[in-house]
Amino acid sequence: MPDRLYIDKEDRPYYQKAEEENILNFKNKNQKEQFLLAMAIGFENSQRRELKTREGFFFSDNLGSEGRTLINALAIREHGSADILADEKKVFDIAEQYASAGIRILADSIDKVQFGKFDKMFEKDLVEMLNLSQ
Amino acid sequence: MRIERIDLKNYRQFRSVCIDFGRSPKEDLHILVADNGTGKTNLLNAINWCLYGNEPHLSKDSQQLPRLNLNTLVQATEGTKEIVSVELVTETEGNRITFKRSEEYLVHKDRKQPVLHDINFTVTYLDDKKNAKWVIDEEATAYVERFVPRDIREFFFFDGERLDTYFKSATGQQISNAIFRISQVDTLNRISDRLESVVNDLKREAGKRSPQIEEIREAIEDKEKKRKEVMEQIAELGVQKEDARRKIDELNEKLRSIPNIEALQAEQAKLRETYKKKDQVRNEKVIDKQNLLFELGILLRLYPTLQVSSQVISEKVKNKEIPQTYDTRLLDNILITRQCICTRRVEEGSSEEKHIKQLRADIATSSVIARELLQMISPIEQIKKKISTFKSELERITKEIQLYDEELNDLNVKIQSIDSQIGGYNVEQVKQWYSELKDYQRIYDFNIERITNLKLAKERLDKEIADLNQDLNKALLKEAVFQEVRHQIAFGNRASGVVNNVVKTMMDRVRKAIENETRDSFFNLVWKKETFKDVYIDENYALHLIHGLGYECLGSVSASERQLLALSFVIALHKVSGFDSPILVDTPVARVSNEQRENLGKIFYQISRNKQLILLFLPTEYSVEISRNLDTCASSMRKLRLTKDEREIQMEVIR
Repeated sequence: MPDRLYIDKEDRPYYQKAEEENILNFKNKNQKEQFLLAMAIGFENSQRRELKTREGFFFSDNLGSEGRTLINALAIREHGSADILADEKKVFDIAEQYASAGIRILADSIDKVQFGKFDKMFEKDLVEMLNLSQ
Repeated sequence: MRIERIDLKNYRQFRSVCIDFGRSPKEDLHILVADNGTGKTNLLNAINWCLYGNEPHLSKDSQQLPRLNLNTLVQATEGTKEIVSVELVTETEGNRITFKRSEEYLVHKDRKQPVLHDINFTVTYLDDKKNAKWVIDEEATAYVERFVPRDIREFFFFDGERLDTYFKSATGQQISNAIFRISQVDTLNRISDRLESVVNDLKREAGKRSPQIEEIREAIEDKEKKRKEVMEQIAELGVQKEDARRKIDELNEKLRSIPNIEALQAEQAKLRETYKKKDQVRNEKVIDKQNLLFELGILLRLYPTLQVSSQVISEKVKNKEIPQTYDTRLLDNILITRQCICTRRVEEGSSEEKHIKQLRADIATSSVIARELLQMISPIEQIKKKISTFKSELERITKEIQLYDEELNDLNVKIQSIDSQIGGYNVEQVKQWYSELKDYQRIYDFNIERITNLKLAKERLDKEIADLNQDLNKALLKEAVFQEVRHQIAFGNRASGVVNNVVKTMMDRVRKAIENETRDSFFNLVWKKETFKDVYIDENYALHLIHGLGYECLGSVSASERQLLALSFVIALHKVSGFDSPILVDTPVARVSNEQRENLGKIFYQISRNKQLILLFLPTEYSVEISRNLDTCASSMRKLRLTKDEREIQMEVIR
C-alpha cells in the first residue's frame, strides 16, 4: 500500500515556476493542493504522463476526504468502474500521471500569458466552464 | 536747499574732483555712474563728513585706510602738511551757503598713517546786506542744523539698498523721532521738563517744613517714578508689538497665496495611512479570491469525474451492493467449525470450502470498494454545493475588490491633489514661515496682554498720584504759610498740562500732514493706481500701505513700490519740515527688477522736476529701462572710474 503520492523529479521546476509567479497564491498552497490543481488541469486536457523518476511529494494521509474523493473519482472515470478502488496504487498512479502532465500545461500557460494576467484568464476560463456545465 | 557743487580735495580716492550740479530749466536730476569701489558711496560719505564730521556708509576696507588720498600720501615728502577737504556749495532761496570741512595732516614716512594736525569746519554765507560772513566750529555745526538736521539726515541721504527695506527696518519709534524733530516741539518739551522740575522743587521745599507734606511728596515721587518705568515699558513693548505685527503682516502676505503646507501634509499623512489600511484589506480580498479560484479550479475541472462516481454509487445503492449485506462472520464461522448452516460438513479441500473462501475474498474486495464509495458520498455532495455557490461567491468578492479599488483610487487622487498643491513651493521654507508666523503671533498676543496690564497699572498709578496730589493740596491748605506754594504748584501743574497737550497736538498735526503728503505723493507717482487704496501713519507712527482689497500689503509689494513709498514719505517729510534738501540715493535700483526699473525711472524724472535728485548708479543698474527715461532729462551725467593704481578717481563728464 503506497503511503505517499509522487511527482516526477523533472516536475519540480514547473511547480517552482508556479510558485515564483505566485499565480493563484500558489506559493502559499500546500503540496497536496498544488498536486490536485495540476491533476485537474491534466485531466481537463486529457493528458497523462508516465513518471520517470519518482519523488515523494506528500503523504496520502494528508489527502483528506475531499482529496481522496477527487482522486478516486478520477480513477473511476479513467477505469470505467469502481473496482479500481480496490487497488490504491493504481488509483495513485492515475492521479500522479495526470498531475505530471498538468503541471507542465500550467507552467506553459504561465509563459504564454502576459505577466500578472494569469489569474484573470484563469477566472475567465472558470466562469465559461461553469456556464457550460449549467 | 540744493547742492550746486562739491569740491573734493585729497578725500579718499578723490584727489581732486569738482562736481557741478547745474540744473536744467525743468529738471534737477544728476546721474553718476560708477563701478563698485569707485567712489559712489564715498561721495555720500564725503557729504556726510562735510556736514556732520562722520562717514556712516564707510566700507570695512575704507575704515582701514587714512582719509588722506593714498597717492598724495605716497608722493608727499617727510614732514609736509597735506590737507583733506570737502566743500559743499549750496543754494537756498537765492542765498549761497558754503560748507567746508578740512583736516590738515602731517606726513611722517616712518608711520603708516599721517598724523592729524588740525581740523576746520566753516560755513560761509551772505548776510542781509549781501556781505560775506562765516562761522566756524560749533557755530557752523549749529548752522547745519538749520538746513539738514543731523537727527533726520537719514531721510535725505540714502543707501538705495536700504531704501528697499526702509519701512521694514524703520520702526515707529524712528519715524516718531523724526516727526518730533520736525514738529520742533523740543523747546516745549524742555519747558514741560522745567515746569515739572520747578513744581518738584516747590514740593520739596514745603516738605522740609512739614513731615506730613514730605511723606506725601515722597509717596508722589515714588509713584511718579514707578509710572515713568511703566510708561517706558509700555513704549518698549509697543515697539516690540509693532515689530511683531509688521512681521505678521509680512508673513501673512507671503503666505496669502500659499496653501497651509503643514496642514496639507498632515491631511496627506492621514490619507496615506487610510490608503495603507484599505490596500491591506484589498490585498487580503484578492488572496481570498485567488484561493477561491484555486479551489474551484480543481473542483470544476474534476466535476465530470464526480458525476461518474455519483452514478456508480447510485447504481450500487440501487443494486443493494452498498451498503454491504453479507454476514462475513457466518462465513468465517463455517470455515472454523466445518459445518454449514444446513448442518452439512464442509470438508477441507472440498469444492464447498473453495466456494466459501472465494466468496469470502470477493466480499473483502467489495467491502474496500464499498467503503471507499460510501466515504465519497458526503464529499461529493459538499463539492457540488461549493460549485453551486461559486458564481455568487466570486461575484461578491470581485465586487468587494472593485469597491476597494474605487476607494483607493479616490484616496490616491486626493493624495496627488495635495502633492500638486504643495508642488512648486519650497516646503521647508513655507513651513518655516508658518512656524515664524505662529511665533510672532504669540509674541504679538503676549505683548498686547502685557501692555494692557501695564496700562491698567498706569491708570492705577495715575489715580494714586492724583489722590496723593489732592492730599498734598489739603495738607498745604491747612497751613497759611503754604498758600503761596500751593498756588505756585497748582499753576506749574496746569502749565505743564497745557504744554504737554500742545506738544501732542503739534505732533499729531505734523503726523497727519506727513501722512497726507505721503499719500498724495504716492498716489500721484504710483503706476498701478487701482492696486492700492490708502496710505496712513497710525498713532504709533507705523506706516501702513493698504491694498485695494483692504489688506495690509507693505511687506509684499515689489521693491520698486516700496522704494516709491519711501521716497514719497521722504518728500512729505521735506515738505512738512521745511528742510527742503536734495535727495541723494546710492545704488537706487539695485534691488529692483528690470521690468520695474522703467517705472522707477519715470518716478525719478517726476521727482526731479520739483526737487534736486542725485542718483549714484552702478553701470549694471543703469540699464536700458533706466537710460530710456533718464538720458534725455538728466541735468548732468558723469562717469567715475579709478586710475590703474586704484588710488585716484577720474571723472568723465558725459553731460
